[in-house]
Amino acid sequence: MPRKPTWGTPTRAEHHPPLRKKWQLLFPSAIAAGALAVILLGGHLVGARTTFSPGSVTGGHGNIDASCEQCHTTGRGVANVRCQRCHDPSSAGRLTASAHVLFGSGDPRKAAAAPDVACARCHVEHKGRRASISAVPDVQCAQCHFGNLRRHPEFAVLKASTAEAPGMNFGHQKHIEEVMKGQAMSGAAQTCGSCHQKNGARRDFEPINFDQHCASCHSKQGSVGAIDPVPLTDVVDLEGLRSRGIGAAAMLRPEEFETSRGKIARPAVRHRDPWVLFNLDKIRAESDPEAFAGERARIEARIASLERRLAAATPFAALDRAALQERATALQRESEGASQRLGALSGAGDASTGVARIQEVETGLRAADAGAADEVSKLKDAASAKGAGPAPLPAADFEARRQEVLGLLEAVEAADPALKPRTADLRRRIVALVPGENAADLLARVRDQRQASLDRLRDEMKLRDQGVAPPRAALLDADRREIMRALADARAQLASLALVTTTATLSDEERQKKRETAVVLAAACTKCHLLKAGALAPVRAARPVLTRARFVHEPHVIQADCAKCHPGIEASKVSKDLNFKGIQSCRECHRSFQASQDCRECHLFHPKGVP
Amino acid sequence: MSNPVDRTQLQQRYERRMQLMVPAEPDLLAQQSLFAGIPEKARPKVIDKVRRYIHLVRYEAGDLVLREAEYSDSAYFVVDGAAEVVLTSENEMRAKVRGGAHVPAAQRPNARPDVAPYIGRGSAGLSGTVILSALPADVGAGSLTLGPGEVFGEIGALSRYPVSATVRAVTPLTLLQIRLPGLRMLLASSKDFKKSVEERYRSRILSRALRQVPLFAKVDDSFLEDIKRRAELVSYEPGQVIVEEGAPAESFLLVIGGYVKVSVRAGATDLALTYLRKGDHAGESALLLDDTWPFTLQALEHVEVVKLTREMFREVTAAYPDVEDALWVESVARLKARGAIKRQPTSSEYVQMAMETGLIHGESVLLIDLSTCTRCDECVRGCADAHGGEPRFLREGTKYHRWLVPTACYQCTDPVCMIDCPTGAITRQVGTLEVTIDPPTCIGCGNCANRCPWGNITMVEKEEKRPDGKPIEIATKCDLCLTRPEGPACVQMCPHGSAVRISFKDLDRVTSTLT
Amino acid sequence: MRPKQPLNLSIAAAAGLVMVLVYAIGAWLAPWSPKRGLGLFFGIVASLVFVFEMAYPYRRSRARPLGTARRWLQAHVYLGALAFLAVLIHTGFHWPGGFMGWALLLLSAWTTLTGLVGVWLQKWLPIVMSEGLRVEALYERIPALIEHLLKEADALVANASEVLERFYLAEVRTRLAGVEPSWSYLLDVRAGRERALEPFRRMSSFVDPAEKEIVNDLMTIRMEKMDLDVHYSLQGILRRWLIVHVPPAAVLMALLAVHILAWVLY
Repeated sequence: MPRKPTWGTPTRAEHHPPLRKKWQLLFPSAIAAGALAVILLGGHLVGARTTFSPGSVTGGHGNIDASCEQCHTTGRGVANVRCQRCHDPSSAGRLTASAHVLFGSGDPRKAAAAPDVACARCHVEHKGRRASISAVPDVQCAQCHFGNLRRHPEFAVLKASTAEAPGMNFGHQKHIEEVMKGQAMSGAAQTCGSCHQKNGARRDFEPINFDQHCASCHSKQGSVGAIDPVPLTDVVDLEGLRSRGIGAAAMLRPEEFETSRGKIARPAVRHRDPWVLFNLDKIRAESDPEAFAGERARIEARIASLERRLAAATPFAALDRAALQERATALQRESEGASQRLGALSGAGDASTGVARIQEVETGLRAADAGAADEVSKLKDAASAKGAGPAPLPAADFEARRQEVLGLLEAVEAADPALKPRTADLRRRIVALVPGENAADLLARVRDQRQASLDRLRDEMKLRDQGVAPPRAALLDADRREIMRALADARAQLASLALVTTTATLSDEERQKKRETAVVLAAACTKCHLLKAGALAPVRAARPVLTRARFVHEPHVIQADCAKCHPGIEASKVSKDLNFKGIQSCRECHRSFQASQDCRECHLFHPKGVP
Repeated sequence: MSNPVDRTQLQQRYERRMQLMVPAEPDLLAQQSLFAGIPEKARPKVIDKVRRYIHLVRYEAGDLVLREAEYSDSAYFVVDGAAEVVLTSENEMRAKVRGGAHVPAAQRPNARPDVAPYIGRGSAGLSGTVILSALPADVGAGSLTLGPGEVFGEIGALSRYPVSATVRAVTPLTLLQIRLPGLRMLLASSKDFKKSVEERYRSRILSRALRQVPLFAKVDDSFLEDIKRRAELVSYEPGQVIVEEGAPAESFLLVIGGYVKVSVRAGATDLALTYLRKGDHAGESALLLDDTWPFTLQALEHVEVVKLTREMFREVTAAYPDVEDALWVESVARLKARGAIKRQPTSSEYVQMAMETGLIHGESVLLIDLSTCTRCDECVRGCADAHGGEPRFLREGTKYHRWLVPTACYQCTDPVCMIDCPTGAITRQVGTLEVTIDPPTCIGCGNCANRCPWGNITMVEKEEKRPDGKPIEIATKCDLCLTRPEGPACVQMCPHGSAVRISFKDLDRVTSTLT
Repeated sequence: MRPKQPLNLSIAAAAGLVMVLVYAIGAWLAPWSPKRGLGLFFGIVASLVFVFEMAYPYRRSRARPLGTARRWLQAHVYLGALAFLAVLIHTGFHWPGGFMGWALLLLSAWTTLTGLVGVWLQKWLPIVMSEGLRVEALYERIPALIEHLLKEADALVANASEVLERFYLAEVRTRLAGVEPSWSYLLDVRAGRERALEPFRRMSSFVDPAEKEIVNDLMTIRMEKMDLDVHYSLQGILRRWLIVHVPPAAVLMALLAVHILAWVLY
């Protein structure tokens, strides 16, 4: 009988063999994992913190990678003050969302209403050492700005190009022809590079500059032309120039001047001739003293503002404990003062009381003088319509008004030198005013700014208590250096103006004569430059056209001819011509699957430099 | 669990069990009317052979002889005293089915029973365990007293239906307990006894049995009485062919006990089509079509059959056309099934397997699909958790194609394990599926474990020790997780849905599940 | 290799699609950040699902509140896969920057991957075992069963001729003693079977007809032994693959706790 193959179990067991233990794998694993968690937590407490980090910080932050407390507040995430501690050490406030709104729209009221956006919202950290935290994706912009490159509006500068010439008389046509002739070039396209020369560092063109680009044709042995005789009563001679201690006068030689019969002439004039520039300033000061004073006052006010700023720009991190305390008290006081003034202003500016008062005046007048009563009645309507506080002026009127007020201040100061500190303060405040803002807005802005500073100060003190390392000195000084540079510029500007001293007031006739002298004096300059109200218009051709965005030519020039974006520029006869097709040119290449369409390719979020 | 009452009952049961160890005296037996039907010459020989299975038992007044819903393998002959038969009304005997993984939704409590009739089945009863009674059905809801010379319990023993009435001693009672082998011998040797048993069956059971068959459900009482009188009772031994395929159809068969294999011939082999169990009937298609038998019927074990002749069948169909319609429907279905099995013989494999291995007895058989089972032992663990840490089955056993039949109780229709239990620890509630062993009552004799043909009862050591130092053992088996309202843990705990429980009563579902 | 519950697969696929869609819309509307809004939401969802996944063994003690073990497993598998997707969405489909980020991402990827490998093993191995083998046995009992087979074989050969006995001792007995698990069964469940049966075929032509039956029986025993070897190997794999799944998952949970703590603190 053969053995049957078994289907199933060959022999049965009496009982089921013991079952595997429950949790036999999970318990040891859980214990091991728990131990690991405890080790990691313990390590964190001891100081090994990178294990907690969701990722390395970007290279620039490498030195604070393991110091969580540099950026993080326990339980609260990353506060803006921590970013500002290093990146806006002088409390300029330009890294805030409201600074962005102001930068973009120029409307301070809108800026004041801008929502507070955390820096970390857009600048996402812990994405690895090589990640760029400044590469902000479009979707962040899209939180407020709807649209894309296809719906991008035309450049404002193009739309406004008819309004203002760049301070020069210049036609591309003639210049290109000349260059082609001189260098035996065949195509107009190649000629562009003769003047528009690449700057490797900035990846754009060198600014056009007289000595480099124009002098070869427009200057013969250093001379750009001659000046017909002008009366010595209106101008100073070389001696006068030297006696005023103008350094640049050293390069002028006496043989360049021809003096005869009370008149002085120049057979040869240099570019930026110090004698011409000084005498133009002098004639302007004499012929139009109010505007000149206004200009000077503006510069003085800017200097004062910058000085104040420089004093305040000492980063908190660089101050010692006592100084911090002192600053805190001061900020507290200023903030409270601003609040009080604001309260007082809104109480005083209550329209209803004003309107009631006008009503009284009107009824009083009605019987005596009906015409005056009508005038007052109009005033009442205006007052009740405008609401609290004086209504902001439109931007165009604002500048004129500011000039006027600054001139008045100048006059007051001249009349009574004892009032100088007071006028200086007023001037500073007037200069600080932004079009579209009234006093209440300004006060609110000051208050908020002081409050923000105070917050930062308190945070700094807290960090000091915790023993958190201060930022690197180089970072802290960046802003100061910039302010100091701006201050130096402003001082030099003032210095050149300060040399001109006005003496007597002149009659209109005399002023007219002086203006005519100025025209003669500037004859050589006005071949190219524009003379406006006795002063040479500033040349803007060398400055970037875009103000809220950046554009570099280099990558574009590699891709295409100049004529692709500036067609027909070789036939242009007017200096304001750009012959730029506008946004359409951009769209030709910046589209899907070709070139990037990201906002950040061109646009800046944070304003550049110290405002 | 145990209380004083249980203890005294236990004591009684134990004493009774001791009585069963003693064969009855031949002299005593010879005096009894029971043996009167045997020819004088053969009588001592028969008595000598039979007396091993006959025991003299005594009951005090008020003692229970048979308990309702229990299984019994013995008939009783009243020697002295009087016994009272108490019937519960039918309403109280309504089958109660607990929820379980294998119980189709339609059969859960409060659900309408599945109306589709199964091929070869009587009415689709809720459980199938309560169809017929082993005791006088004509007593109604009242009681009946049995005196000396009366026999009871023989039909229950022969047909293995649960006892449907309680028998209690009214006076001190002396009985002869005749166990099944003895009963069979007596039936074979004594024509009178056989006749009287048949007579009693006819009078007491048959009408009820016939009523259970949908065929006769609406037939007049008088008509039924007529059939009852004329029907023939036949028994078959295991393996005996009842009818051959192709034989002329002469009779209509009603199975009363045992299993009958229904097969068709396909070439040289027999393809199992289905099987008949108690309450099922056969032969209607041949009679209706006036054709030869389309199937072969073969007794799988000891089978009791009621035979109706062609004429009687004709009378019924002629008198009751709706019965005839129902039969037509049924016979068409059967013939269709026959055709299907001939075209696709593989589906008969499982039927054949079930018959060969005894799975057909299973009311709730645990099967594991090995092609999805990951051997994670979750079923065993679930079982162990539901039963105090000791699993009630072994996840090993026989394999058929992709199915493993683990060593777990089948919950047989006729639980043989119950028969020999000396203490009555094994019980099955009327209308429920699970056959349970009550641990406090179990004395660990091991009878049930030995009796189970599939070795599905395990003797488990308890922590207690006997005075002689040997551990106390008790029998354990699957109880379909009585304590879990969700149903059997093995099925519930299987994360892969590999464990299923099926009832072999419903062959269609069996084949559709298994293939 | 079809899913057991196609509906669940479709639901999971739909849920995954919805998640990716939510991500796409969310990332389009606002900058995606794991720290805020939807990014954070997906992170929290993934953590919660991970916790639920770790609770899988809990089904044993009581399956009731969440249904049968089968539903638990289905939920475990599909939610686990979705949780990994949620992790990816949480990061905004960006590579992490630091140790912690990488550890979390790699561990969740590993856990998901090993889980899916486990699903594959649990689907594939039962099929080959049920189709390719006759014998079915409990893993723990296999050594005992093999011992039993050895005894049976010993008994068969006890009264056999010397030739047969020598053959048995030289070529059969050593292969019957002790379990011989092998990785090759993972590839082919009947690996080496023909080679193993070759000596029996050869032998059966040598012995006289009376002993042929013994050789056949020995062959049957040898085959059963090989079946048991396969069972031992494959069931062993089915039991042990969790080693690559559970401990990393536990470590993942620990790092997740640290990650959440870091998020709360900073």
